[in-house]
Amino acid sequence: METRVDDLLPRLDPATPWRDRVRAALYALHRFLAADERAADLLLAELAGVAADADPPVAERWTGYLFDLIDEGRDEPTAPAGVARMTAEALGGGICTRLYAAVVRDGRLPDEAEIVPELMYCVVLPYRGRDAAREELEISPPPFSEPHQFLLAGPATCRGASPPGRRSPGLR
Amino acid sequence: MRALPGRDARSRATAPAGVTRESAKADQRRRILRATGELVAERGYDSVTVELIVKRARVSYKTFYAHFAGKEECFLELFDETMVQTRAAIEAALVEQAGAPWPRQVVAALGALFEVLLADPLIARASIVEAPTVGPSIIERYERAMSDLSPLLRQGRELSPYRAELPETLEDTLAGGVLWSAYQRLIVGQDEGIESLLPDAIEFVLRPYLGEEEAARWAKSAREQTAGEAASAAS
Repeated sequence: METRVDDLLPRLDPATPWRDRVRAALYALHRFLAADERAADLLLAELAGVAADADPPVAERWTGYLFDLIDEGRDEPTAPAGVARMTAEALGGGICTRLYAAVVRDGRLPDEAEIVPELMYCVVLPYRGRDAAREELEISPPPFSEPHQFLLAGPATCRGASPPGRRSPGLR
Repeated sequence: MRALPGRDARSRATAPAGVTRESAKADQRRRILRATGELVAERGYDSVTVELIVKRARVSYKTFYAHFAGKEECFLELFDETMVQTRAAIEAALVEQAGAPWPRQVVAALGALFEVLLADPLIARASIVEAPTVGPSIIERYERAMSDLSPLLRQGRELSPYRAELPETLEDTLAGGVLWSAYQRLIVGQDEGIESLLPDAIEFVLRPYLGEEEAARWAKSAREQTAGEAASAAS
């Protein structure tokens, strides 16, 4: 799974607006997990920190990536000065535990169109404020080939993934 | 299996003073649970055996099996007991704040939760960090415990001018985030980091309901109180 997780780590163009990069990363994560039930069980347990055979490097790479990306919100011109690093950690941790809980409770991930906009609302609110957060609830999922397209470049192809298509402007 | 870093292996599970049969039995049970928690926190659940537990608790195998069917039952009891204590501490804090504004109740509940974690970080580590590795028997209980704060947070919707837009799953994400942050500090043995986390956690959970300024005000007040308490403890 490690190779696939490394493939998953999105290489997003820093010039792309922060919100778009976070959204692309969350859809990529969701689609990766939704495409492979076993990967979802393992990775989410690792991300939530509860796997019996957790591979810390994998979980740390992912959480480190996600937290740093969320924490870049502090560089947004609208971000209040007092927002702490803990906000990004708690948001990233909350996302991981929320997805893990859904798998444990319901046996499956929630639909991406339901869960990702809600998670984006939580992420955007502290850094970009209420209006931007509200906008996130109205943004539709990107076409399936976009944010996770890079997954198909690796040796292991995700079950259910669509063929390579146009790259998202957010990915390099 | 990851063993938790950490603490001195000496146990608080010391032998009891001679008392009545019933209290001796209760004391044995307490020592077994304590020893189990300490060992699980130090070594990870999978590496703990009944042999290690009876040695640490200074009881015989016969005594151990008179109380528990095995390691898993023993650990489940420890987990349940820890959760009961945590819920009781939060409920007591809420009773004390009955009638107080909702943000104050949230501050009190988070404060009580963090106090429980700090009061016995070793058992907190065993319960929060290691519990989910036990297997299917505990996962549902664990998930239920992790969402314990959600109903209290949800009450904030009634006061919030933003309630119409708040996502349905907001509370689970907020509660999960706070616990995850505390959990990370328990994993790396930064127990003291939990205390300093409190004001940020308060701001984090109040922000969606009250807005940036009001949440920051409650966090500032908690930060000042924590600093004041630290100063009086130092003097």
